[in-house]
Amino acid sequence: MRDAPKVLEGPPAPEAELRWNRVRRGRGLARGAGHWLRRNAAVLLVYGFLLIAWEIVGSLPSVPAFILPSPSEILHRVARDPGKLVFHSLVTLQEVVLGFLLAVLAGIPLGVLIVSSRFLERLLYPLLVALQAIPKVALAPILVIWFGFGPTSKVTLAFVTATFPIVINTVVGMAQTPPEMIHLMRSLGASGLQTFTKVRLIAAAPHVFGGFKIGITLAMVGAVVGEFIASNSGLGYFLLIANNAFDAPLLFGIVILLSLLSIALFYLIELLEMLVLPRPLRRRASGVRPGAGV
Amino acid sequence: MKLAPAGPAPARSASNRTPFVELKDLSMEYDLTADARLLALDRVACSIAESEFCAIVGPSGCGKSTLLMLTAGLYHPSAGQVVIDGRPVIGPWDGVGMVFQRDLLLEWRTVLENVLLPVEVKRLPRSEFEGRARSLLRLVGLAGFEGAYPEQLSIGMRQRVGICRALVHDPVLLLMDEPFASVDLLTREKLGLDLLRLTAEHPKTVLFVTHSVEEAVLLSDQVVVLGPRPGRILRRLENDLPKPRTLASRSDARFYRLVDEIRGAFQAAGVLS
Repeated sequence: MRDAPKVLEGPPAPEAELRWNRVRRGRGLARGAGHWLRRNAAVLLVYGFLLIAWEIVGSLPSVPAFILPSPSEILHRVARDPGKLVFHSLVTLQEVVLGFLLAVLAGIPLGVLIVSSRFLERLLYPLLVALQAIPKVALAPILVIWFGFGPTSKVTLAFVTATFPIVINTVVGMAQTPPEMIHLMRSLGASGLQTFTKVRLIAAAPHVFGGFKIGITLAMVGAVVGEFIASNSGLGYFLLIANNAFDAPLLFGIVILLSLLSIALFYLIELLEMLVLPRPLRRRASGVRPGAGV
Repeated sequence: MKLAPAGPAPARSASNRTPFVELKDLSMEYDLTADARLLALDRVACSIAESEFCAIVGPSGCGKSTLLMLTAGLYHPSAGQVVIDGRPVIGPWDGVGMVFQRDLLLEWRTVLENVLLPVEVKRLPRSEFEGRARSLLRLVGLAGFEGAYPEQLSIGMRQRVGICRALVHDPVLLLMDEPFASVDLLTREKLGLDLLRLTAEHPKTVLFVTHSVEEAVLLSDQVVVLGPRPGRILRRLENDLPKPRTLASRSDARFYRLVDEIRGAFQAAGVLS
Protein backbone atom coordinates (compact mmCIF):
# COMPACT_ATOMS: atom_id res chain seq x y z
CA MET A 1 0.00 0.00 0.00
CA ARG A 2 3.04 2.24 0.46
CA ASP A 3 2.84 4.03 -2.84
CA ALA A 4 -0.89 3.76 -3.30
CA PRO A 5 -2.62 6.87 -4.57
CA LYS A 6 -3.68 9.14 -1.71
CA VAL A 7 -7.36 8.66 -2.23
CA LEU A 8 -7.11 4.96 -1.43
CA GLU A 9 -5.87 5.61 2.09
CA GLY A 10 -7.88 8.48 3.50
CA PRO A 11 -11.44 8.54 4.81
CA PRO A 12 -14.30 8.77 2.29
CA ALA A 13 -13.62 11.30 -0.41
CA PRO A 14 -14.34 14.83 0.87
CA GLU A 15 -16.32 15.80 -2.23
CA ALA A 16 -18.68 12.89 -1.70
CA GLU A 17 -19.18 13.94 1.93
CA LEU A 18 -19.93 17.47 0.82
CA ARG A 19 -22.44 16.37 -1.74
CA TRP A 20 -24.53 14.45 0.78
CA ASN A 21 -24.36 17.30 3.26
CA ARG A 22 -25.72 19.69 0.74
CA VAL A 23 -28.63 17.42 -0.03
CA ARG A 24 -29.41 17.04 3.65
CA ARG A 25 -29.25 20.74 4.39
CA GLY A 26 -31.73 21.39 1.62
CA ARG A 27 -34.27 19.21 3.43
CA GLY A 28 -35.32 21.93 5.95
CA LEU A 29 -38.81 22.99 4.90
CA ALA A 30 -38.49 26.77 4.99
CA ARG A 31 -35.02 26.67 3.54
CA GLY A 32 -36.26 24.19 0.96
CA ALA A 33 -39.06 26.49 -0.16
CA GLY A 34 -36.73 29.48 -0.49
CA HIS A 35 -34.20 27.40 -2.33
CA TRP A 36 -36.89 26.02 -4.65
CA LEU A 37 -38.18 29.51 -5.44
CA ARG A 38 -34.72 30.77 -6.27
CA ARG A 39 -33.94 27.80 -8.48
CA ASN A 40 -37.19 27.92 -10.39
CA ALA A 41 -37.65 31.68 -10.59
CA ALA A 42 -37.06 31.76 -14.33
CA VAL A 43 -39.48 28.91 -15.01
CA LEU A 44 -42.17 30.48 -12.85
CA LEU A 45 -41.69 33.78 -14.61
CA VAL A 46 -42.23 32.21 -18.02
CA TYR A 47 -45.38 30.44 -16.87
CA GLY A 48 -46.66 33.62 -15.22
CA PHE A 49 -46.08 35.51 -18.42
CA LEU A 50 -47.93 32.90 -20.49
CA LEU A 51 -50.86 33.00 -18.07
CA ILE A 52 -51.09 36.78 -18.33
CA ALA A 53 -50.88 36.61 -22.13
CA TRP A 54 -53.70 34.05 -22.12
CA GLU A 55 -55.79 36.27 -19.87
CA ILE A 56 -55.29 39.22 -22.21
CA VAL A 57 -56.00 37.28 -25.41
CA GLY A 58 -58.98 35.53 -23.83
CA SER A 59 -60.48 38.87 -22.81
CA LEU A 60 -60.18 40.42 -26.28
CA PRO A 61 -63.64 41.18 -27.65
CA SER A 62 -62.68 39.59 -30.96
CA VAL A 63 -62.04 36.22 -29.26
CA PRO A 64 -65.37 34.67 -28.27
CA ALA A 65 -65.46 32.91 -24.89
CA PHE A 66 -66.56 29.61 -26.43
CA ILE A 67 -63.29 29.45 -28.34
CA LEU A 68 -60.84 30.61 -25.71
CA PRO A 69 -62.14 31.54 -22.28
CA SER A 70 -59.68 33.51 -20.15
CA PRO A 71 -58.19 31.94 -17.00
CA SER A 72 -60.29 34.21 -14.80
CA GLU A 73 -63.47 33.11 -16.58
CA ILE A 74 -62.50 29.47 -16.12
CA LEU A 75 -61.79 30.00 -12.43
CA HIS A 76 -65.04 31.82 -12.01
CA ARG A 77 -67.01 29.05 -13.66
CA VAL A 78 -65.30 26.33 -11.69
CA ALA A 79 -65.81 28.14 -8.39
CA ARG A 80 -69.53 28.50 -9.08
CA ASP A 81 -70.19 24.77 -8.87
CA PRO A 82 -67.24 22.96 -7.25
CA GLY A 83 -69.37 20.18 -5.74
CA LYS A 84 -70.01 18.43 -9.05
CA LEU A 85 -66.36 18.71 -10.08
CA VAL A 86 -65.25 17.15 -6.81
CA PHE A 87 -67.78 14.35 -7.18
CA HIS A 88 -66.77 13.49 -10.74
CA SER A 89 -63.09 13.81 -9.89
CA LEU A 90 -63.47 11.29 -7.09
CA VAL A 91 -65.18 8.86 -9.45
CA THR A 92 -62.40 9.18 -12.01
CA LEU A 93 -59.64 9.04 -9.39
CA GLN A 94 -61.10 5.88 -7.95
CA GLU A 95 -61.15 4.22 -11.38
CA VAL A 96 -57.60 5.34 -12.14
CA VAL A 97 -56.16 4.20 -8.83
CA LEU A 98 -57.93 0.84 -8.92
CA GLY A 99 -56.96 0.22 -12.53
CA PHE A 100 -53.39 1.20 -11.79
CA LEU A 101 -53.13 -1.05 -8.74
CA LEU A 102 -54.45 -3.97 -10.77
CA ALA A 103 -51.88 -3.14 -13.45
CA VAL A 104 -49.11 -3.24 -10.84
CA LEU A 105 -50.35 -6.54 -9.44
CA ALA A 106 -50.49 -8.08 -12.91
CA GLY A 107 -47.62 -6.24 -14.63
CA ILE A 108 -44.75 -7.09 -12.31
CA PRO A 109 -45.41 -10.85 -12.22
CA LEU A 110 -45.92 -10.83 -15.99
CA GLY A 111 -42.59 -9.06 -16.48
CA VAL A 112 -40.87 -11.52 -14.17
CA LEU A 113 -42.41 -14.47 -16.01
CA ILE A 114 -41.32 -13.11 -19.37
CA VAL A 115 -37.75 -12.69 -18.16
CA SER A 116 -37.55 -16.05 -16.46
CA SER A 117 -38.66 -18.30 -19.30
CA ARG A 118 -37.99 -18.29 -23.02
CA PHE A 119 -41.22 -20.15 -23.63
CA LEU A 120 -43.33 -17.67 -21.68
CA GLU A 121 -41.53 -14.83 -23.43
CA ARG A 122 -42.49 -16.25 -26.80
CA LEU A 123 -46.00 -16.91 -25.57
CA LEU A 124 -46.79 -13.65 -23.79
CA TYR A 125 -44.73 -10.99 -25.52
CA PRO A 126 -46.55 -10.96 -28.90
CA LEU A 127 -49.87 -11.02 -27.08
CA LEU A 128 -48.91 -8.00 -24.99
CA VAL A 129 -47.63 -6.09 -27.98
CA ALA A 130 -50.78 -6.89 -29.94
CA LEU A 131 -52.92 -5.77 -27.03
CA GLN A 132 -50.92 -2.58 -26.78
CA ALA A 133 -51.26 -1.95 -30.52
CA ILE A 134 -55.05 -1.85 -30.29
CA PRO A 135 -56.24 1.72 -29.82
CA LYS A 136 -57.87 1.60 -26.40
CA VAL A 137 -60.87 3.52 -27.71
CA ALA A 138 -61.64 0.49 -29.86
CA LEU A 139 -61.67 -1.74 -26.80
CA ALA A 140 -63.98 0.51 -24.83
CA PRO A 141 -67.29 -0.54 -26.45
CA ILE A 142 -66.46 -4.22 -25.91
CA LEU A 143 -65.62 -3.60 -22.28
CA VAL A 144 -68.86 -1.70 -21.83
CA ILE A 145 -70.78 -4.66 -23.24
CA TRP A 146 -68.93 -6.97 -20.86
CA PHE A 147 -68.87 -4.88 -17.71
CA GLY A 148 -71.71 -2.38 -18.15
CA PHE A 149 -71.91 1.37 -17.76
CA GLY A 150 -70.57 1.39 -14.22
CA PRO A 151 -66.99 1.95 -13.06
CA THR A 152 -65.90 -1.65 -13.74
CA SER A 153 -65.49 -1.09 -17.49
CA LYS A 154 -63.40 2.05 -16.79
CA VAL A 155 -61.25 0.33 -14.21
CA THR A 156 -60.64 -2.44 -16.74
CA LEU A 157 -59.69 0.03 -19.44
CA ALA A 158 -57.33 1.89 -17.08
CA PHE A 159 -55.83 -1.45 -16.09
CA VAL A 160 -55.31 -2.59 -19.69
CA THR A 161 -53.69 0.72 -20.65
CA ALA A 162 -51.39 0.90 -17.64
CA THR A 163 -50.17 -2.69 -17.66
CA PHE A 164 -47.99 -2.53 -20.75
CA PRO A 165 -45.39 0.01 -19.60
CA ILE A 166 -45.15 -1.71 -16.23
CA VAL A 167 -44.49 -5.08 -17.86
CA ILE A 168 -41.95 -3.66 -20.30
CA ASN A 169 -40.09 -1.72 -17.63
CA THR A 170 -40.03 -4.74 -15.35
CA VAL A 171 -38.51 -6.77 -18.18
CA VAL A 172 -35.90 -4.07 -18.88
CA GLY A 173 -35.16 -3.73 -15.17
CA MET A 174 -34.76 -7.44 -14.63
CA ALA A 175 -32.31 -7.55 -17.53
CA GLN A 176 -30.10 -5.03 -15.70
CA THR A 177 -28.44 -7.79 -13.73
CA PRO A 178 -25.44 -9.00 -15.74
CA PRO A 179 -25.13 -12.76 -16.31
CA GLU A 180 -21.88 -12.84 -14.33
CA MET A 181 -23.76 -11.68 -11.24
CA ILE A 182 -26.12 -14.58 -11.63
CA HIS A 183 -23.12 -16.92 -11.99
CA LEU A 184 -21.62 -15.38 -8.87
CA MET A 185 -24.80 -15.97 -6.89
CA ARG A 186 -25.07 -19.53 -8.14
CA SER A 187 -21.45 -20.22 -7.24
CA LEU A 188 -22.34 -19.18 -3.69
CA GLY A 189 -25.13 -21.73 -3.69
CA ALA A 190 -27.87 -19.11 -3.90
CA SER A 191 -31.34 -20.32 -4.80
CA GLY A 192 -33.22 -18.72 -7.66
CA LEU A 193 -35.41 -16.99 -5.11
CA GLN A 194 -32.40 -15.55 -3.28
CA THR A 195 -30.92 -14.21 -6.51
CA PHE A 196 -34.31 -12.74 -7.32
CA THR A 197 -34.98 -11.01 -4.02
CA LYS A 198 -31.45 -9.95 -3.14
CA VAL A 199 -30.27 -8.86 -6.58
CA ARG A 200 -32.57 -8.83 -9.57
CA LEU A 201 -35.68 -7.31 -8.05
CA ILE A 202 -33.82 -4.47 -6.33
CA ALA A 203 -31.73 -3.77 -9.42
CA ALA A 204 -34.97 -3.60 -11.39
CA ALA A 205 -36.77 -1.32 -8.95
CA PRO A 206 -35.80 2.06 -10.49
CA HIS A 207 -37.04 0.86 -13.87
CA VAL A 208 -40.21 -0.56 -12.40
CA PHE A 209 -40.92 2.80 -10.82
CA GLY A 210 -40.34 4.40 -14.20
CA GLY A 211 -43.02 2.05 -15.52
CA PHE A 212 -45.34 3.10 -12.70
CA LYS A 213 -44.96 6.75 -13.65
CA ILE A 214 -45.90 6.10 -17.26
CA GLY A 215 -48.57 3.64 -16.16
CA ILE A 216 -50.41 5.99 -13.84
CA THR A 217 -50.75 8.69 -16.49
CA LEU A 218 -51.91 6.12 -19.01
CA ALA A 219 -54.42 4.78 -16.49
CA MET A 220 -55.88 8.28 -16.38
CA VAL A 221 -56.18 8.30 -20.17
CA GLY A 222 -57.81 4.87 -20.11
CA ALA A 223 -60.38 5.81 -17.48
CA VAL A 224 -61.37 9.05 -19.21
CA VAL A 225 -61.67 7.34 -22.58
CA GLY A 226 -63.93 4.78 -20.95
CA GLU A 227 -66.08 7.53 -19.48
CA PHE A 228 -66.26 9.15 -22.90
CA ILE A 229 -67.69 6.04 -24.49
CA ALA A 230 -70.42 5.24 -22.02
CA SER A 231 -70.97 6.32 -18.46
CA ASN A 232 -73.00 8.48 -16.18
CA SER A 233 -70.27 9.86 -13.94
CA GLY A 234 -66.61 10.79 -13.93
CA LEU A 235 -64.69 13.70 -15.39
CA GLY A 236 -64.83 12.25 -18.91
CA TYR A 237 -68.59 12.15 -18.71
CA PHE A 238 -68.74 15.63 -17.20
CA LEU A 239 -66.51 16.88 -20.00
CA LEU A 240 -68.97 15.62 -22.60
CA ILE A 241 -71.85 17.31 -20.76
CA ALA A 242 -69.95 20.60 -20.70
CA ASN A 243 -69.12 20.19 -24.36
CA ASN A 244 -72.71 19.55 -25.35
CA ALA A 245 -73.76 22.63 -23.39
CA PHE A 246 -71.14 24.78 -25.15
CA ASP A 247 -69.87 25.60 -21.68
CA ALA A 248 -66.28 26.37 -22.75
CA PRO A 249 -65.07 27.71 -19.38
CA LEU A 250 -66.19 24.51 -17.66
CA LEU A 251 -64.71 22.42 -20.46
CA PHE A 252 -61.36 24.12 -20.03
CA GLY A 253 -61.66 23.82 -16.27
CA ILE A 254 -62.16 20.07 -16.50
CA VAL A 255 -59.25 19.64 -18.89
CA ILE A 256 -56.99 21.58 -16.53
CA LEU A 257 -58.27 19.59 -13.57
CA LEU A 258 -57.54 16.32 -15.38
CA SER A 259 -54.02 17.43 -16.06
CA LEU A 260 -53.53 18.54 -12.45
CA LEU A 261 -54.78 15.19 -11.19
CA SER A 262 -52.35 13.38 -13.49
CA ILE A 263 -49.48 15.52 -12.27
CA ALA A 264 -50.44 14.87 -8.65
CA LEU A 265 -50.57 11.11 -9.19
CA PHE A 266 -47.26 11.19 -11.05
CA TYR A 267 -45.51 12.98 -8.23
CA LEU A 268 -47.15 10.73 -5.67
CA ILE A 269 -45.39 7.82 -7.37
CA GLU A 270 -42.15 9.76 -7.39
CA LEU A 271 -42.53 10.46 -3.67
CA LEU A 272 -43.12 6.78 -3.05
CA GLU A 273 -40.01 6.01 -5.07
CA MET A 274 -37.93 8.33 -2.90
CA LEU A 275 -39.27 6.64 0.23
CA VAL A 276 -38.85 3.07 -0.98
CA LEU A 277 -35.62 3.00 -2.98
CA PRO A 278 -32.25 2.85 -1.25
CA ARG A 279 -30.30 6.06 -1.70
CA PRO A 280 -27.88 5.08 -4.49
CA LEU A 281 -30.73 3.87 -6.68
CA ARG A 282 -32.66 7.13 -6.60
CA ARG A 283 -32.15 9.66 -9.36
CA ARG A 284 -31.45 6.69 -11.59
CA ALA A 285 -34.34 7.50 -13.84
CA SER A 286 -33.20 11.06 -14.38
CA GLY A 287 -29.61 10.41 -15.26
CA VAL A 288 -27.04 7.73 -15.92
CA ARG A 289 -24.16 7.86 -13.54
CA PRO A 290 -20.63 6.71 -14.24
CA GLY A 291 -19.38 3.41 -12.88
CA ALA A 292 -22.82 1.93 -12.51
CA GLY A 293 -21.98 -1.77 -12.44
CA VAL A 294 -25.21 -3.40 -11.44
CA MET B 1 -22.21 -29.13 -1.55
CA LYS B 2 -22.19 -30.58 -5.04
CA LEU B 3 -19.10 -32.69 -4.94
CA ALA B 4 -19.52 -36.38 -5.43
CA PRO B 5 -18.78 -38.34 -2.26
CA ALA B 6 -15.14 -39.23 -1.94
CA GLY B 7 -14.39 -42.64 -3.40
CA PRO B 8 -11.60 -44.84 -2.20
CA ALA B 9 -8.77 -42.55 -1.13
CA PRO B 10 -6.85 -41.64 -4.27
CA ALA B 11 -3.35 -42.96 -4.30
CA ARG B 12 -1.39 -39.87 -3.37
CA SER B 13 1.66 -39.41 -5.48
CA ALA B 14 4.97 -39.42 -3.73
CA SER B 15 5.69 -35.85 -4.67
CA ASN B 16 4.90 -33.13 -2.15
CA ARG B 17 2.65 -31.51 -4.73
CA THR B 18 -0.51 -33.54 -4.39
CA PRO B 19 -3.00 -32.07 -6.80
CA PHE B 20 -5.83 -30.11 -5.21
CA VAL B 21 -7.58 -29.11 -8.41
CA GLU B 22 -7.36 -31.55 -11.28
CA LEU B 23 -8.72 -30.84 -14.72
CA LYS B 24 -9.03 -34.20 -16.43
CA ASP B 25 -9.25 -34.00 -20.21
CA LEU B 26 -11.87 -31.30 -20.05
CA SER B 27 -13.74 -30.57 -23.26
CA MET B 28 -16.57 -28.16 -23.67
CA GLU B 29 -18.81 -27.81 -26.67
CA TYR B 30 -21.53 -25.22 -27.02
CA ASP B 31 -24.58 -25.63 -29.22
CA LEU B 32 -24.78 -22.54 -31.34
CA THR B 33 -27.70 -23.63 -33.47
CA ALA B 34 -29.34 -26.97 -34.11
CA ASP B 35 -26.44 -28.19 -36.22
CA ALA B 36 -23.59 -25.80 -35.48
CA ARG B 37 -21.44 -26.50 -32.45
CA LEU B 38 -18.54 -24.62 -31.02
CA LEU B 39 -15.69 -26.45 -29.42
CA ALA B 40 -14.50 -24.06 -26.70
CA LEU B 41 -12.14 -26.34 -24.80
CA ASP B 42 -10.32 -29.33 -26.18
CA ARG B 43 -9.05 -31.95 -23.71
CA VAL B 44 -7.53 -29.58 -21.21
CA ALA B 45 -5.62 -31.40 -18.51
CA CYS B 46 -3.63 -29.93 -15.67
CA SER B 47 -3.38 -30.03 -11.92
CA ILE B 48 -2.93 -27.36 -9.33
CA ALA B 49 -1.54 -27.95 -5.86
CA GLU B 50 -3.11 -26.59 -2.71
CA SER B 51 -2.34 -22.89 -2.14
CA GLU B 52 -0.82 -22.66 -5.58
CA PHE B 53 -1.42 -19.59 -7.72
CA CYS B 54 -2.12 -20.77 -11.24
CA ALA B 55 -2.38 -18.20 -14.00
CA ILE B 56 -4.19 -19.14 -17.19
CA VAL B 57 -3.14 -16.95 -20.06
CA GLY B 58 -4.46 -16.97 -23.58
CA PRO B 59 -5.96 -14.90 -26.37
CA SER B 60 -9.59 -13.78 -26.43
CA GLY B 61 -12.09 -16.54 -26.98
CA CYS B 62 -9.80 -19.39 -26.01
CA GLY B 63 -12.25 -20.72 -23.43
CA LYS B 64 -10.50 -19.33 -20.36
CA SER B 65 -13.74 -18.19 -18.78
CA THR B 66 -15.40 -21.51 -19.64
CA LEU B 67 -12.64 -23.23 -17.73
CA LEU B 68 -13.50 -21.26 -14.60
CA MET B 69 -17.22 -21.93 -14.98
CA LEU B 70 -16.52 -25.65 -15.24
CA THR B 71 -14.30 -25.55 -12.18
CA ALA B 72 -17.01 -23.74 -10.20
CA GLY B 73 -19.49 -26.41 -11.29
CA LEU B 74 -21.67 -23.83 -13.03
CA TYR B 75 -21.40 -25.60 -16.39
CA HIS B 76 -21.18 -29.28 -17.10
CA PRO B 77 -18.28 -30.35 -19.31
CA SER B 78 -19.04 -32.16 -22.55
CA ALA B 79 -16.28 -34.60 -21.67
CA GLY B 80 -13.78 -35.10 -18.88
CA GLN B 81 -14.18 -33.90 -15.33
CA VAL B 82 -12.97 -31.48 -12.71
CA VAL B 83 -11.76 -33.08 -9.51
CA ILE B 84 -11.37 -31.11 -6.31
CA ASP B 85 -9.38 -32.77 -3.56
CA GLY B 86 -10.16 -36.17 -5.00
CA ARG B 87 -13.90 -35.54 -5.48
CA PRO B 88 -15.45 -34.92 -8.90
CA VAL B 89 -17.41 -31.69 -9.32
CA ILE B 90 -21.04 -32.36 -10.27
CA GLY B 91 -22.58 -28.95 -9.58
CA PRO B 92 -21.91 -25.65 -7.79
CA TRP B 93 -19.95 -26.53 -4.67
CA ASP B 94 -19.19 -24.84 -1.39
CA GLY B 95 -15.78 -23.29 -1.12
CA VAL B 96 -15.55 -21.19 -4.25
CA GLY B 97 -14.93 -17.44 -4.37
CA MET B 98 -15.32 -15.73 -7.73
CA VAL B 99 -14.12 -12.41 -9.10
CA PHE B 100 -15.03 -11.19 -12.57
CA GLN B 101 -13.82 -8.39 -14.79
CA ARG B 102 -16.84 -6.34 -13.76
CA ASP B 103 -16.80 -5.77 -10.03
CA LEU B 104 -20.51 -6.68 -9.80
CA LEU B 105 -21.01 -4.68 -6.62
CA LEU B 106 -24.61 -4.03 -5.66
CA GLU B 107 -25.01 -0.27 -5.82
CA TRP B 108 -27.61 -0.18 -3.06
CA ARG B 109 -25.43 -1.90 -0.51
CA THR B 110 -22.63 -0.31 1.43
CA VAL B 111 -19.11 -1.64 1.00
CA LEU B 112 -19.43 -3.78 4.12
CA GLU B 113 -22.85 -5.13 3.09
CA ASN B 114 -21.45 -6.00 -0.33
CA VAL B 115 -18.58 -7.93 1.21
CA LEU B 116 -21.02 -9.78 3.47
CA LEU B 117 -23.25 -10.91 0.58
CA PRO B 118 -21.85 -14.48 0.52
CA VAL B 119 -22.33 -14.73 4.30
CA GLU B 120 -25.94 -13.73 3.86
CA VAL B 121 -26.58 -16.07 0.95
CA LYS B 122 -25.00 -19.00 2.75
CA ARG B 123 -26.78 -18.06 5.99
CA LEU B 124 -23.55 -18.03 7.96
CA PRO B 125 -23.53 -16.26 11.33
CA ARG B 126 -23.02 -12.60 10.50
CA SER B 127 -21.57 -11.75 13.90
CA GLU B 128 -18.69 -14.11 13.24
CA PHE B 129 -17.95 -12.94 9.73
CA GLU B 130 -18.36 -9.20 10.08
CA GLY B 131 -14.99 -8.94 11.84
CA ARG B 132 -13.42 -10.96 9.05
CA ALA B 133 -15.00 -8.70 6.42
CA ARG B 134 -13.64 -5.61 8.17
CA SER B 135 -10.16 -7.07 8.46
CA LEU B 136 -10.15 -8.02 4.76
CA LEU B 137 -11.16 -4.48 3.85
CA ARG B 138 -8.37 -3.17 6.08
CA LEU B 139 -5.89 -5.46 4.32
CA VAL B 140 -6.73 -3.98 0.91
CA GLY B 141 -6.53 -0.42 2.25
CA LEU B 142 -10.25 0.24 2.48
CA ALA B 143 -10.51 0.78 6.23
CA GLY B 144 -12.86 3.72 6.77
CA PHE B 145 -14.90 2.96 3.64
CA GLU B 146 -17.13 0.28 5.18
CA GLY B 147 -20.19 2.54 5.13
CA ALA B 148 -19.52 4.07 1.70
CA TYR B 149 -21.59 3.16 -1.34
CA PRO B 150 -19.87 1.69 -4.42
CA GLU B 151 -20.69 4.80 -6.49
CA GLN B 152 -18.38 6.77 -4.21
CA LEU B 153 -15.37 4.55 -4.99
CA SER B 154 -12.89 4.46 -7.85
CA ILE B 155 -12.82 1.47 -10.20
CA GLY B 156 -9.75 0.05 -8.49
CA MET B 157 -11.30 0.39 -5.05
CA ARG B 158 -14.49 -1.26 -6.26
CA GLN B 159 -12.55 -4.27 -7.52
CA ARG B 160 -10.79 -4.52 -4.13
CA VAL B 161 -14.21 -4.74 -2.51
CA GLY B 162 -15.11 -7.47 -5.01
CA ILE B 163 -12.00 -9.42 -3.98
CA CYS B 164 -12.89 -9.10 -0.29
CA ARG B 165 -16.36 -10.39 -1.11
CA ALA B 166 -14.84 -13.43 -2.82
CA LEU B 167 -12.74 -14.19 0.28
CA VAL B 168 -15.12 -13.42 3.13
CA HIS B 169 -16.61 -16.91 3.44
CA ASP B 170 -13.12 -18.42 3.48
CA PRO B 171 -13.35 -20.42 0.24
CA VAL B 172 -10.69 -22.99 -0.58
CA LEU B 173 -10.52 -21.94 -4.21
CA LEU B 174 -10.45 -18.46 -5.68
CA LEU B 175 -11.53 -18.20 -9.33
CA MET B 176 -10.64 -14.92 -11.00
CA ASP B 177 -11.71 -14.03 -14.52
CA GLU B 178 -9.57 -11.14 -15.75
CA PRO B 179 -10.24 -9.30 -12.51
CA PHE B 180 -8.01 -6.34 -13.27
CA ALA B 181 -8.78 -5.93 -16.96
CA SER B 182 -10.76 -2.72 -16.55
CA VAL B 183 -8.26 -1.05 -14.23
CA ASP B 184 -5.54 1.29 -15.45
CA LEU B 185 -2.05 -0.21 -15.74
CA LEU B 186 -0.53 1.43 -12.69
CA THR B 187 -3.36 0.38 -10.40
CA ARG B 188 -3.40 -3.02 -12.03
CA GLU B 189 0.04 -4.11 -10.82
CA LYS B 190 -0.73 -2.67 -7.42
CA LEU B 191 -3.93 -4.72 -7.21
CA GLY B 192 -2.08 -7.84 -8.31
CA LEU B 193 0.52 -7.47 -5.59
CA ASP B 194 -2.20 -6.71 -3.04
CA LEU B 195 -3.84 -9.95 -4.06
CA LEU B 196 -0.58 -11.81 -3.42
CA ARG B 197 -0.37 -10.24 0.02
CA LEU B 198 -3.95 -11.28 0.74
CA THR B 199 -3.38 -14.85 -0.35
CA ALA B 200 -0.17 -14.98 1.69
CA GLU B 201 -2.20 -14.01 4.75
CA HIS B 202 -5.15 -16.27 3.91
CA PRO B 203 -3.67 -19.11 1.85
CA LYS B 204 -5.86 -19.96 -1.13
CA THR B 205 -5.61 -21.95 -4.27
CA VAL B 206 -6.07 -19.47 -7.07
CA LEU B 207 -7.04 -19.89 -10.70
CA PHE B 208 -6.39 -16.57 -12.34
CA VAL B 209 -7.40 -15.95 -15.94
CA THR B 210 -5.69 -13.11 -17.77
CA HIS B 211 -4.80 -11.72 -21.19
CA SER B 212 -1.62 -10.24 -19.87
CA VAL B 213 1.51 -12.37 -20.07
CA GLU B 214 3.36 -10.00 -17.72
CA GLU B 215 0.61 -10.14 -15.15
CA ALA B 216 0.57 -13.93 -15.30
CA VAL B 217 4.30 -14.12 -14.70
CA LEU B 218 4.35 -11.50 -11.96
CA LEU B 219 1.68 -13.21 -9.86
CA SER B 220 1.76 -16.95 -10.44
CA ASP B 221 3.44 -20.14 -9.30
CA GLN B 222 2.39 -21.93 -12.46
CA VAL B 223 1.41 -20.55 -15.85
CA VAL B 224 -0.92 -22.47 -18.13
CA VAL B 225 -0.78 -21.18 -21.70
CA LEU B 226 -3.95 -21.76 -23.70
CA GLY B 227 -4.01 -21.61 -27.47
CA PRO B 228 -6.68 -20.00 -29.63
CA ARG B 229 -10.05 -21.67 -30.15
CA PRO B 230 -10.56 -24.49 -29.53
CA GLY B 231 -8.72 -23.84 -26.28
CA ARG B 232 -6.04 -26.38 -25.60
CA ILE B 233 -2.95 -26.22 -23.46
CA LEU B 234 0.07 -25.03 -25.42
CA ARG B 235 2.49 -25.06 -22.50
CA ARG B 236 2.73 -25.28 -18.76
CA LEU B 237 5.50 -23.46 -16.98
CA GLU B 238 6.68 -23.55 -13.40
CA ASN B 239 7.28 -19.98 -12.35
CA ASP B 240 10.50 -19.79 -10.36
CA LEU B 241 10.49 -16.02 -9.98
CA PRO B 242 11.63 -15.48 -6.37
CA LYS B 243 9.13 -14.54 -3.69
CA PRO B 244 7.88 -12.32 -2.25
CA ARG B 245 7.06 -10.62 -5.52
CA THR B 246 7.32 -6.86 -5.71
CA LEU B 247 7.30 -4.34 -8.51
CA ALA B 248 11.04 -4.95 -8.62
CA SER B 249 10.41 -8.58 -9.64
CA ARG B 250 9.74 -7.21 -13.07
CA SER B 251 13.38 -6.30 -13.52
CA ASP B 252 14.52 -9.84 -12.69
CA ALA B 253 16.10 -11.62 -15.63
CA ARG B 254 13.88 -14.64 -14.96
CA PHE B 255 10.81 -12.47 -15.42
CA TYR B 256 11.82 -11.69 -18.98
CA ARG B 257 12.84 -15.23 -19.70
CA LEU B 258 9.40 -16.50 -18.68
CA VAL B 259 7.60 -13.77 -20.58
CA ASP B 260 9.66 -14.61 -23.66
CA GLU B 261 8.95 -18.29 -23.29
CA ILE B 262 5.21 -17.68 -23.12
CA ARG B 263 5.27 -15.32 -26.06
CA GLY B 264 7.31 -17.94 -27.91
CA ALA B 265 4.57 -20.51 -27.27
CA PHE B 266 1.96 -18.08 -28.64
CA GLN B 267 4.13 -17.35 -31.64
CA ALA B 268 4.55 -21.02 -32.40
CA ALA B 269 0.77 -21.41 -32.27
CA GLY B 270 0.34 -18.50 -34.65
CA VAL B 271 -1.30 -16.19 -32.11
CA LEU B 272 1.41 -13.55 -32.46
CA SER B 273 2.91 -13.02 -35.83
